[in-house]
Amino acid sequence: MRRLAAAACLGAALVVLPASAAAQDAQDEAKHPTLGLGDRLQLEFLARVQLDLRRGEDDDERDLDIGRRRVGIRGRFTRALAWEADAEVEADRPWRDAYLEYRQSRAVRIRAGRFKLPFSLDHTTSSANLDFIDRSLAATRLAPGRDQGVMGHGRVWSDRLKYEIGAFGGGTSAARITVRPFGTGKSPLGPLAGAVAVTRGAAGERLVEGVWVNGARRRTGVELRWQPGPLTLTTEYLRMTAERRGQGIAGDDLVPLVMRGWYVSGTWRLRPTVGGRRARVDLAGRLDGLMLGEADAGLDSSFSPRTPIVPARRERAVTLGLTWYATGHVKVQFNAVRERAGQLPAGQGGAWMPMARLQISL
Amino acid sequence: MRTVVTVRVGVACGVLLLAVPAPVPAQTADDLFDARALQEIRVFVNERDLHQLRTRYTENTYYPADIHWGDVRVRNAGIRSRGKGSRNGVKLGLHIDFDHYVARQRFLGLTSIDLDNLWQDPSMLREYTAMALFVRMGQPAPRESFARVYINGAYQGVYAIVETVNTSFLMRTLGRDDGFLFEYHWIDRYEFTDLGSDLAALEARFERRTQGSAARSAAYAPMAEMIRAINALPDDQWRSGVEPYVDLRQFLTHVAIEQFLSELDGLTGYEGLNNFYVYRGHGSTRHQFLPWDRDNAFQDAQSSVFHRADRNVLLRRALAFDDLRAFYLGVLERCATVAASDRWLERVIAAAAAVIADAAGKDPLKPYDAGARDAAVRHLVEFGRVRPAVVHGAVTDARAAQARRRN
Repeated sequence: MRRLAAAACLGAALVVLPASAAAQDAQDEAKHPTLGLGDRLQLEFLARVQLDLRRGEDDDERDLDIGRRRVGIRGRFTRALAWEADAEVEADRPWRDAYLEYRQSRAVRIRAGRFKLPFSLDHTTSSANLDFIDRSLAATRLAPGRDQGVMGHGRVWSDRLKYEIGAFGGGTSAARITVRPFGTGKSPLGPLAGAVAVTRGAAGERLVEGVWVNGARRRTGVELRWQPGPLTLTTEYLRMTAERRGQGIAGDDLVPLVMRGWYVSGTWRLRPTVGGRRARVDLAGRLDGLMLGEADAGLDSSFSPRTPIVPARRERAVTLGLTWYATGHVKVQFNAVRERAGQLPAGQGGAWMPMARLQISL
Repeated sequence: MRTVVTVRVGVACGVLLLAVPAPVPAQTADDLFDARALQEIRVFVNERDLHQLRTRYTENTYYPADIHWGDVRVRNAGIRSRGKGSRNGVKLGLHIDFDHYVARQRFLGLTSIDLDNLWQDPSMLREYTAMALFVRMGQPAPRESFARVYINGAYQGVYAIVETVNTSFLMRTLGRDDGFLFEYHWIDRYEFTDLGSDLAALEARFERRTQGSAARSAAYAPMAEMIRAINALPDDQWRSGVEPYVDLRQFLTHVAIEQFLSELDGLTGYEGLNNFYVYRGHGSTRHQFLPWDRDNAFQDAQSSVFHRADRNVLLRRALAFDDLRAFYLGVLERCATVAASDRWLERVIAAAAAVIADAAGKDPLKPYDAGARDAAVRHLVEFGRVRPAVVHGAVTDARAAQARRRN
C-alpha cells in the first residue's frame, strides 16, 4: 500500500510539474514569499517538504519517507541585523537553526544562537541544495552538527578569504578558513576554492560507532572545490579523533578512536531545451569512503565497546545521481547508491540501491 | 682435560634442565567442571558498566568483561544478567558469552557458561546434585561445579558454574549439533495441550537456539505436528502416531528422574511445563528433552512418584500404556537404587557441601543466613537418605496396582 502511495506521489509530481514549469523559467532560484516594510525590514517565509522513496529494510519493500517538513522565517532589519529560525514539523527536537546576526560590515559579522558548526562543505550545505539525496559518509558520520554558540565570520581580501571562528556549547571551538586564491575572475583557476577547518571540544561518555569515548574530540578537515563552467569538482578529507579516557574494562585510558572520511564528487550541469524552454538537469557522481579504527585485526577483531585497540573497518560508497530542477520551487532527484561495508572481501560489494526524492520549496 | 670439560658440560645441562619449568598440563573444560575443587572466577568489568548491570538487571544487555580462571585469561567476553526468579541486582546471575564481541573466541573450548547465583536455594546444592543424578542415569545434562566469584576484586559469593546448553553441549552429549535446539520459556500454564495451527504460539514458548536462519515452518511444523498427535490421536493410534515425534522412553526417563528428585518446577511443574530444552536432530522429527535449572528439586522426600502426572497430556497418555508405565517405574527404581547404592546421593551432597562450606559461609550477598543454609543442607542430606526407600516402596505399590488392574 505504501509502495503504491509512493509511486502515486512521484508520478503525480512528474505529470504536474512540467505544467507548472510553464509559469516560471526552470532556472530561477526559489523565491520565497516575502514581506517588506520599506528597505528597513524584510521578512522571508520558508517552507519545504521532502518525500523520499527508498528501499526498506526488507529487500522487497520500499519506504516512503515524508519525514522532512520544515518551516522557517528569515529576515533583516536595516543592513545591520539579520535572523533566521527554522524548525522541523512534528519532530522531537523541532528547532534547527535559530540565530541572530549582527553585520558590522562584509568583513565583520557576529552570529549568536543555534546553528551548524563551520566544518565540512558537504555538512554545511543545506539539504535543499545538495547534489545528492544523502550526504557523504564522511560528513554524515564525522561532522559535528548544530550547537548553540557565537561565531564571528566575514570576507576580506576582495572576497578571496572567508573566515569563520566560533565558540560553542560544551567548550567546543571551531574555525574554518576558505580561500579563493585566484579571486572570482574568468581565468580557468578563478572558480577554485579551498578550505581548512578544525574543531576542538570535549564530550562526556557516549557511544560513537559502537565504541565508548570520553574526553577531547578533535576534527580536522580539508576541502577543495573547482567550478569551471558547467562542471563542479569537489573533494573533502575529514579526520576525527575522540579520546577514550577511563573507558577500559579496568577504567584505564584507551587509545583514542580515529575516524577518517573522504569523498570526491563531480557534477555536470546540462541545459537542455524542453518544449522551447531551457531546463536544468545535473548529472552527478560521487565516490566516498570511511575508515574507522587502527588495527587490521582481520575477522577475529573484537567488537567490544571497550576494545583496547579499535579494529579497522572500512566503508565505501559510489553514488550516481540525476537532479532535475523542474521549477525554482520543485526539484526531483534520482540516486543509485552502491555501498560496501565492513570486512567483505574485495569485489563483493552490495547491490545498487535506487532512491528518489521530490522536494517542494516555497 | 677432556673429562673436566665433559663434567662441566654435563653440570651445565643439568642446571639448564632444572631451570626450564616443568610443563603445565593444559587446562580443559573438564577441569573447570571438576566439582571436587572449588573454582575461582574473577570477572573484570568497567565500573560504569557494572553500575548499569546492577541497576538494569532485568535487561539482557551485554557488557564487555575480562574473565580470569587460574592462568587462563579471556578478554572482551560479553556478560549479561541472567535468571528468572533468581535475577537480581545484588548478587548478579551472569551469562558469559566468550564470542559475543570476538568472533570464534573460546574459553577452554566453550562458547559460553552461566554463573548461577544460587539465590533461591539456601543449600546452594540442589542444582548441582540434581544434574549429577541426570548424568548418573545416563541422561545428557549440563556439567556443573562451584566457584568463588569476584567482580573487580570484590568477593560476590558462591556460584554454580553451569555449562550452557548450546551446540558445544549437543556435540559433547549427543555427538551432533546440526538440528534444532529450543529453550522453553514459561509464559503461562501449559501442559502439552493443543495450540492449534498457529506456529506463533509455539514460537513464543519454544525459543530457537540453533538454526536461527532456517524457515519458521522448518523449525516449528514438526513440533506442531507432535502436539497435534499427542492430543488428537485415539488410544489405538497414539503410539504409532506419537513415537515418530517423541522419544517416549527418553521423555519418561526425564520425568521419572524429576519425580525421584521431587522437582517442583519441571515437566510436571506446579504451573505447567518449565525448565527444559528440546532438541530435534537434523532430518528427524523426533524430539528429545534436556534438563535445565533444578533450583526447585528436592522438595519433599515423601512426594508421590506420580505427582501431577495426570495434568501433563503427554505423560498421562504415555502412562496409560502398560509397557511404558512399567518402563517409567523401572527408571524410578533405578534412580532409587543408584541413589542408595553406597549412599551415593548422600555422599554427593555431603562432598559438595564440604567443598563450598567455607566460601558459602563468607558469601556476603546471599539472601539467607547461615542457619537457613545449614537447615537446607540437612534437608538435602535427609532427602538423600530417605528418598530411595520411599521411591522403592512407591514403585512396588504401583506395580502391584498395575498387576491388579491387568488381572
